[in-house]
Amino acid sequence: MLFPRSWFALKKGGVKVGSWLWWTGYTLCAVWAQEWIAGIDFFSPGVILCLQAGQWRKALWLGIAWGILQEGTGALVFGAMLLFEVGLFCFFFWSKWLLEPENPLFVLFLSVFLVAWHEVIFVGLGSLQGLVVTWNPFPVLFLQLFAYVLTWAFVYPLFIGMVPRVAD
Amino acid sequence: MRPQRAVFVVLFALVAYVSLYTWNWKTGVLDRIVVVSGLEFVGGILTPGKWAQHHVTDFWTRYVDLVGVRQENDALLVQVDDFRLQMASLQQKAAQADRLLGLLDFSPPVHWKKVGARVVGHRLGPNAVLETILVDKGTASGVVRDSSVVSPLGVVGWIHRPGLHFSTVLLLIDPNSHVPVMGAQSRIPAIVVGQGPRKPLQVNYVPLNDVLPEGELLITSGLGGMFPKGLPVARVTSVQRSALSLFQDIQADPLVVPNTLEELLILLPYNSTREAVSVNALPPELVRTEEGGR
Repeated sequence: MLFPRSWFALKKGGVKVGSWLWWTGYTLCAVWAQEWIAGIDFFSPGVILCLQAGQWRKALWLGIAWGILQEGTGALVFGAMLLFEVGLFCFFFWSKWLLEPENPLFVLFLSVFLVAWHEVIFVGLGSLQGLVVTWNPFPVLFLQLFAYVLTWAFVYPLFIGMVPRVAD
Repeated sequence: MRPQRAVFVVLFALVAYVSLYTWNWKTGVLDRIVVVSGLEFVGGILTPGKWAQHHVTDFWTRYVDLVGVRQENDALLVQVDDFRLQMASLQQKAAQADRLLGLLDFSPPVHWKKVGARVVGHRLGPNAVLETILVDKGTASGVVRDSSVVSPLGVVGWIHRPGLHFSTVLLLIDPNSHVPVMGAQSRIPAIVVGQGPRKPLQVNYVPLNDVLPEGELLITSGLGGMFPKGLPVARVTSVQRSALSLFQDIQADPLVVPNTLEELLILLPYNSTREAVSVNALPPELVRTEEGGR
């Protein structure tokens, strides 16, 4: 195991040190991954992980923080990522009635929705702002789909192995 | 939750979102906050990483990669390899020096000053739906929205969202880029519009009677005030006349390949009247439309 499970229970001033380290590391890796593969989202799998672990409050805070970060580096007027995150949360809660959230099929299903949702939001809001935003070609959509599923598949075992699965 | 209550909650959320979106579009308050926070954070992560990447690569290519070779080969081969390495390193440095000399030699037009900047990132994240790059200069260096961005080869684009120490540059190849140009020889005015990555630029509004030959260099015409006059933009690659249109169908290749850019220049007018023009509490998109649909 990369980090001992006790790290995540280690509290300093009421804050779980290991959790902070984990999410800081995740943020750094995601920023660099987004720099290497242009236009691809690597933050949403992190939010999905929190939701799957039942850490609703953390998912909300991370969603807001990463949303602000993505809005800052983006090209549209504020609001697109907010709508995207709301869609992620709504679809997660809706689709977990149909499938077990930890099922890889669920993640694939959610990823397909996120890719489609992203296209609708950004092309729609882009045209609302008078900008020419073209639909992404299929290879880019598949790349984003693979990025969601593979990132989740890579991070999920590490995350579940380290973080105590309790709602915060 | 009862259906009526659920509908009420959804409607309330929708109204709240639209209100927030509209208010921000008019005032730009949230945009300023997220641009400063987002760009500073990401720039802060990428800049030391790029520095470390450069030095680690440098160290690896100079020393670590050659440990085995030095142990296995005789002194002459080691010497030859060293010379090769030194030569490669010097060539890289010479190329960098050439680029930097090019930047230094670049004389900005009168009433314009130049600010050197380094590229620290490209399109970052799903929200970066336009063709942009991230540079390490922001409002702290005097950069303002719509400042023109050039390299010694030609026009790169313009500042789309300035942060405090980092800014995003909208590239010439993006479909939202509209640059007024003219033929360097023929002096025929036109508007160059991007069509996306790996696609040529579209040269619009050249009447059927005008002659803009293939191979002609297109330079900025200075109209609109965003770019100084005379900067090279693109070279005409194909000219076709259609019986259905009043204008010729002309395509041109940009002179600058954005993916290869490492350093560039931001041009700022000395009397920054553009700030006064572009603010005036108008939303940025409206300002762009009024200034000629840039």
